[in-house]
Amino acid sequence: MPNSSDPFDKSNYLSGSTATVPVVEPPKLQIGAEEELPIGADPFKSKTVVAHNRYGTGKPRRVVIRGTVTRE
Amino acid sequence: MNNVQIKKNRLRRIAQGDVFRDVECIEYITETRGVIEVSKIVFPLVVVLTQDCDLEQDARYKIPTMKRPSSDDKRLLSVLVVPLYNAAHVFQGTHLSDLDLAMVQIRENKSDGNYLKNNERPRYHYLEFADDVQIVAQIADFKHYFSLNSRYLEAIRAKNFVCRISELFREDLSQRFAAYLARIGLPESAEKSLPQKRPSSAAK
Repeated sequence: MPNSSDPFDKSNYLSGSTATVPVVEPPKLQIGAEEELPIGADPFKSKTVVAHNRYGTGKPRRVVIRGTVTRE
Repeated sequence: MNNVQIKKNRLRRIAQGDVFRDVECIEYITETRGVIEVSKIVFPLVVVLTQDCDLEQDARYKIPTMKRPSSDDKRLLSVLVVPLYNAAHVFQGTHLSDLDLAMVQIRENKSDGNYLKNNERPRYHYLEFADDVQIVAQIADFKHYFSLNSRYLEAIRAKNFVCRISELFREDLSQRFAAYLARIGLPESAEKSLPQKRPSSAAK
């Protein structure tokens, strides 16, 4: 059994015991900037081509996710 | 003037020339004192450059209706892709500004920009789509190729598929990429790399 729910308590996962610690919810990805089509939208349905309604207008971006781990 | 043709339907498998959106490239994963950190770069568009015959062989393991091979010999572990950048941002040198990277500015209407648009610069491949295709002009940067786990790409395939580049045009892209990857790096100047010779006393 885990000694505590503290993720920094090494005895939880180094001694072979398991600890269930809450996983930090990752930040929601900001997929689809305003000028982008929503995911799943058919880019070819609309016959009217609008410059701000096209794919590939954005730039690559970095996303960092942190959470706690459980060792078994 | 468009220089590429596309097909709007996707195959039952990943194919060379497939264009996907919002693709995540894992930069690193670290774990410190029980806290795990995952850093990833989300690319707006990437194009698949793995050989199509390899992808076809690999699909036999995944499509239930196809006869499954007796061994895992032809299974792929990863899929090679190259990011596509908004051409307007590349010309400005700002396409990686969100990653805190300042790239070289390329003058679009001068000779260096025209060389790029004519696909005469080995590092880049310029793609200008027809007016009925809702993708702005893109530039593939062969220096930024990376691989994706094939299971990951399979999982996002249906949702993130945009289009696929038609066979002839994807062959052109693939061949230029292979040529760039196989280039032989030479010193910038042969003279610079040679040791400087001291002037002889006779020359004084």
